[in-house]
Amino acid sequence: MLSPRTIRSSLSRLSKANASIGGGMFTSRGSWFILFVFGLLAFAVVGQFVAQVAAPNEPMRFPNLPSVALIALTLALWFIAEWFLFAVRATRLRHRLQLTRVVLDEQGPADTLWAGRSFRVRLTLELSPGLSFPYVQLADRLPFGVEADPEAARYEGALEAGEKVEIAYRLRCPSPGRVRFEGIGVQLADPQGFFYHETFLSAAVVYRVLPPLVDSRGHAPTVKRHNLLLPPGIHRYRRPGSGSELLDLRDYLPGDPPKTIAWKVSARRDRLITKEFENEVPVRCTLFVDTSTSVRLGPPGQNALTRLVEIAAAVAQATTATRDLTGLCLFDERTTTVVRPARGSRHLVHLLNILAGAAGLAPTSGQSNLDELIPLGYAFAQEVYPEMMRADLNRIAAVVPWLAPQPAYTRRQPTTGDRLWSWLPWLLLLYGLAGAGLIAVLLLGPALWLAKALGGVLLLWVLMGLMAFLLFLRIPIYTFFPHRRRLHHWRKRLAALISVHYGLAPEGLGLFLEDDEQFALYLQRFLADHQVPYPLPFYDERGHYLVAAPGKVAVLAAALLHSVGKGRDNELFVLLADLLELPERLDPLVRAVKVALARHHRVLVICPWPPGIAAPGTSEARQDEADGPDAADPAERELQSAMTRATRNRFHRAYDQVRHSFGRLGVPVICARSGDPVRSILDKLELLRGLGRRR
Amino acid sequence: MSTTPKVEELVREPGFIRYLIICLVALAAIFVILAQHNYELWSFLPVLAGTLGGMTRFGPALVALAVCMLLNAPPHGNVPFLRNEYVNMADLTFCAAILAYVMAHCRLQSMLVLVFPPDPRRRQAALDPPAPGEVRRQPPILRQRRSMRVVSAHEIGLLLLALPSWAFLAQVALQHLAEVSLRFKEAWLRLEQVELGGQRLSGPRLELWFPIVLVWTFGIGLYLAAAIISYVRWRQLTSPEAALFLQDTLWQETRREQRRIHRWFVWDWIRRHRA
Repeated sequence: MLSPRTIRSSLSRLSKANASIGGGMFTSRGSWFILFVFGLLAFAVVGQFVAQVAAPNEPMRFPNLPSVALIALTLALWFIAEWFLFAVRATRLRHRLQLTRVVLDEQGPADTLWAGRSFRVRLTLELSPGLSFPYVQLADRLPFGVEADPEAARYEGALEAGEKVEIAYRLRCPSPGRVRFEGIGVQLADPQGFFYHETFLSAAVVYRVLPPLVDSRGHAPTVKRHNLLLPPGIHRYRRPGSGSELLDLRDYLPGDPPKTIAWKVSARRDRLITKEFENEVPVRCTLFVDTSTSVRLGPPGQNALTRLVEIAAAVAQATTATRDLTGLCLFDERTTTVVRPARGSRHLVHLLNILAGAAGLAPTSGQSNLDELIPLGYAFAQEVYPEMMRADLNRIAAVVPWLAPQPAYTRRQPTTGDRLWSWLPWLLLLYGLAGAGLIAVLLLGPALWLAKALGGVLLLWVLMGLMAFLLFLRIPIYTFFPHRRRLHHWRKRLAALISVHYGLAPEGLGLFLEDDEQFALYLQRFLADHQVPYPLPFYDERGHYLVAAPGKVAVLAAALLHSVGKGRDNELFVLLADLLELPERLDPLVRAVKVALARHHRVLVICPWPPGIAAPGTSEARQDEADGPDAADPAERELQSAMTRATRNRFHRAYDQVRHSFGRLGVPVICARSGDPVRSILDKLELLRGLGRRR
Repeated sequence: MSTTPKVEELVREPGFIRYLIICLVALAAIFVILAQHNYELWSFLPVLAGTLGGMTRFGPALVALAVCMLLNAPPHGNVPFLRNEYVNMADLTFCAAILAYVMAHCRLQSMLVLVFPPDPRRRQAALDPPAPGEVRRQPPILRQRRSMRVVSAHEIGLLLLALPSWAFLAQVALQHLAEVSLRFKEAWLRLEQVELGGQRLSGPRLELWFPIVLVWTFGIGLYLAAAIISYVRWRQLTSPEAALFLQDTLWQETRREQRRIHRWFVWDWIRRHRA
């Protein structure tokens, strides 16, 4: 229940907001103009008064001052009316503009998009009857990573009441994942450029971007090589079974069905010979896709996860084309998402949807640097949630960062600056006492002495004292942690927004202001949900790599064992996992692979490769030429070159270690960047079918 | 929108031409009215100020200052210029001409210079990639101008309609304010004579009533306007915005307690995590 104090405070804030200018903001042109007009009006009115007071019985020296007042009043009334109309328009704009978005392909409206294909986006804005807007600029906020012409996604001009405006442009998504359309940015101005208002018409829509359809190379060959065409999804398996294709002839054993005896051969050899037929079984392929933080690093669409998703999608499409069963297991450091092997186009679409969702995942870490994240989040929130960042709704008292700075003991790794900042109130007190004493000495001591001795110089000293006082007030603003105070303001506003956005109000705000880790995680989630790329630290203060995600090895091993337990004869397990940072921690996975091999399954490991580093088997000279450092300073260039070499060597060593670990079991390890991993997987499937075809 | 328009392009733009004509006609009207009042060659002063100032952003200020100076400068300063009547065509035309120049000039400025304040977040298209060894420079800030193509005849019509309306309204307002202040003055004098027996009060001087009434009128008018806008704005809060406001109010009231509790929680969590 709200206390009387709370109600009073709310009313006080309402009255403060009432006093502020609602909706409209003055441009510098508008500010100077109204200042000039009011100055002119004041000059005319006050000048008239002064003239009457100074010489009441004489004729007016400036008899045309009323004319000046009339001119100024004309301009002032016009300006105030324009402001009032503009403010009302700006206030009502958001609620009167209806936005409809449709994404179209060749056949009509599309619910999902395909990577690599072009789509048409059509926006319709309808203004409800009532006020019209003389000048607006509308700009659709393009999602990150898409290819579109920003100029085509704009509209400029008047918006009449009841009118519909259409914006249409073409869009292409280069990589799978998600595309989020936030809404449309609206800028409103009057024709004179006196006022402007900026807001955002939020209409968030998320579209899945499915991986591209594979080309003909990705498909398995469909040339008929046998007399009998098997049902789709059934393959010949070169083990004796109950198929229809002859596999071998052997001596008859008691118990063999008499109908399989090859009578002519038996007659020739003078003993009973029986026919063995091929087995006919389905081939299953289960794809284990790593979605841990280590593969999410990098810009969306260009990271290792996108590559893994593309490979998995291509394999899924190829196996679906041959009616093979395809399963999927997404895993990270903690969880797994399993889709049992199945076949059919519906299953393929299901898989592609899951893969598209995985491709859009962003890395998260509670150990992020908030000094980098907060400005990014604040700028984004200012653009997309301007109303939630309004000072009258989301405010922070100016004294809060001065008097209640964040203490060092609530930080995980406090720096010297953090420790010093927490002492700010005491530093201020010390500064205040010392400064006040100095000014008192400056003002009172010499001033009194000088008043007696010099008389006229007293004024000079008073002025100097006043200047010193002003300086005394200004110095702390620029010297006592201005960056931290500004970040504190921004953090409060962001915390309030995120708390409401994720339904954590009212306690979320207080929590986010004190708990760095929770705030970092939620801020990253907020940015990731809105598809804003953000920086993430790779190493902690002790030099430990933060995003290796060692927990995923155990999770992957458990998932593999589970699949082996559920599996049947003829299965291929493809591990699409980044293991390059964990070559010494592969034991659980190696044991699980041994179990899979013991059950006559086949395993294939595909390692994603970081961009910018020469893949194994690539010519180093060529790679150096491609990724060569571009620094101007030779020393810096040399340093960059040495670092590139060191990183490349480290990754190559790790790759060799992983290959060695799995090579002992006969499991091939393939680099995702070199060669054609999709072809390798499909070849492996062919071997499983026992056909041993070579293309 | 971001490129500076060239003169050849400007000449072909009807929006630009229309506002230029309005500016010139307004200056001509000012000249004619001043010339009718025997200002002779001095009548050219506002025209000169308007022409020169038209190339800069100071055009309206220069014209207004030139007119004010001219009206009050000797020898013409002793001749009353405007009549201060409720409706006077000469006054109406003169004020409307100045207003027309101001409006047209400002609209030209928004088309040629800026309509929105420069925003460092909005920049022009990325420059070409720098040569090896060169530092990548940030593209210049986008200058958002109003496109001349969006100027409609409807807009010009509204402008022409607004000119006499505001000039007339100002005349009426000024006259009305003068009458109200006169009534206040008379009431004050009556109070002095009747109730205080002719003794002088230590209140405002009689000549000050007009400025007082003016300031109060403007103050109350602006406050009411801001109150209406603010009320409309508060009524239109969305659900998340209202939740944000309530959360903020609670935090403002209990921030010290919340801060203390959460700091202890964090301290405890960090201690346990380190252990």
